[in-house]
Amino acid sequence: MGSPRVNRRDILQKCLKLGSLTLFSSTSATELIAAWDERENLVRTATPWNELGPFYKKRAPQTSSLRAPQDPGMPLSVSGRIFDVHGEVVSGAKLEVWQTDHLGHYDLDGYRYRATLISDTNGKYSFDSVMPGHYPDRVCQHIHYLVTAPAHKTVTTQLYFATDPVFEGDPDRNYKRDPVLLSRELVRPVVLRGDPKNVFADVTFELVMERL
Amino acid sequence: MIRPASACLFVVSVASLCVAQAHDEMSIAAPAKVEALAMARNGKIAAGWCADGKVRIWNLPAGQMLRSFDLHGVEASQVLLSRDGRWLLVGDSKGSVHIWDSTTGKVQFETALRHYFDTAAFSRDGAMLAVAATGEPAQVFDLRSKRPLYQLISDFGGPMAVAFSPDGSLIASADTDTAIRVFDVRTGRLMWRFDELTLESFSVDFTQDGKFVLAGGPNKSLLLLDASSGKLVHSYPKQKDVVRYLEVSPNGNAVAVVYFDENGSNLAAPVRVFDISSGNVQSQWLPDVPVIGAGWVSDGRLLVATSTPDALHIWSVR
Repeated sequence: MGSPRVNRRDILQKCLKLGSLTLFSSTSATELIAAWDERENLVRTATPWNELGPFYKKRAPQTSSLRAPQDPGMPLSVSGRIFDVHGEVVSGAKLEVWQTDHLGHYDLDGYRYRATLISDTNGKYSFDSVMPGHYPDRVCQHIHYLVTAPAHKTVTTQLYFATDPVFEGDPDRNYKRDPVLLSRELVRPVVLRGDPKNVFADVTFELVMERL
Repeated sequence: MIRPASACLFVVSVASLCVAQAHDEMSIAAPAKVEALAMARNGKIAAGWCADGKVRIWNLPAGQMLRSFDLHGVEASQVLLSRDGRWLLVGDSKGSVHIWDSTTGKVQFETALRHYFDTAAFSRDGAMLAVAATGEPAQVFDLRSKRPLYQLISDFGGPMAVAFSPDGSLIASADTDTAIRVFDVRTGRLMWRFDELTLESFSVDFTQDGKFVLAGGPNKSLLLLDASSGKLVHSYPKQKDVVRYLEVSPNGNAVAVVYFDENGSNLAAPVRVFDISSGNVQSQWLPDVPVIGAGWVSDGRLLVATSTPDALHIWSVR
């Protein structure tokens, strides 16, 4: 038989009633609980793990422009913020991202479509690229992420796109078509803008790191 | 994602760059397409994961099916045989690892990994096992006691390949953080790490005298490292294609290399044999379909397997 679920808010209220927690400030219990609730709402779940590679390449250049002006393929802008599981911004995190070109080829000899990024003081990062292609042995389009920050667990994950034809418009139902894709959370909505002859894609991918 | 196949290797002859002669040693009718094949070093046993979800064992060269195991709908990630062919390891996409006694069909060892299975190696005497889930450190087991001994730690990502030295004293690990590491088998202690690669290696092996470690992968070259210090001894000339699997010959003079194509895809790609001391290509062969498994056998033949929907083909190059 399971025990009744008690959250931290309940514990706080009980502690106040029992006198095991005493308030020495002008903050009322109601205000304290409201602040606690607000804080609890910021709690985030760590970004799901997804395998690193293969084809990770260290020492990628620090740049936010993975796409050269004349590169074929659908232009793609990816942006997001990095938080810890308590909702605190993680600034100065190092993100290494890599992907194929629009035809599904990794650059193994150089650093095309590979970059190192650093999150800013607001935890923000962004880069311009192209929508990665499909390739044999891998079902879905994806971008690899390796995120490191002092005092945080390393995040190894991949970003997927809800517009990927593999999902046939229903990633909820079809995301498991890629055996490597273990979490629906990694499939992000895509905002398409421009005109039919000149389509651009925008994707937001928030990352959440666990503290060590 | 492309996963280096379990046990592969390959073929051919020739001085300089002539086309080698691959001999179709045998064709074995298979009820379903064989997706990956492992062969024992004695050349008498082969085990393959088939598209119908079964793992089958054949004797060689007769090609008689000895036994089959049903994976109950779970996809195998790798099949591996101990050198004497007695132990059959199957790692699957759910993270389960099973070792069967190929002679009796009885389960010898089982463990569950955190993620789907990635790579494994038996020690040459079959007493030790190194096994890793994708993204996780390799775990080393004593198969006699069936107890875990230690983990082989990397910075992140886990290994792509592991190999025991011939005398069983060292384990080499080709890790996705791009390092090559060598550990002391008795203690699990890291002996050295080689950090000069920017890309990971897909395969690693020791020379027969245990003095050197060979590694290769998407950097398209073979590296020869001193097994005692980790220092680079020689970097072989870059090839066009990605090294998928390498294995040192029984006489220790040559290394056979199975490749992915230049983009790292599992398409038809060459197999080359290099002279270890000079780095020269002794032979090369281009099969018209992807290799599903290969390995040297103790009489010096290099066996390479390909498959068609209804048959398994094993090629030999002397």
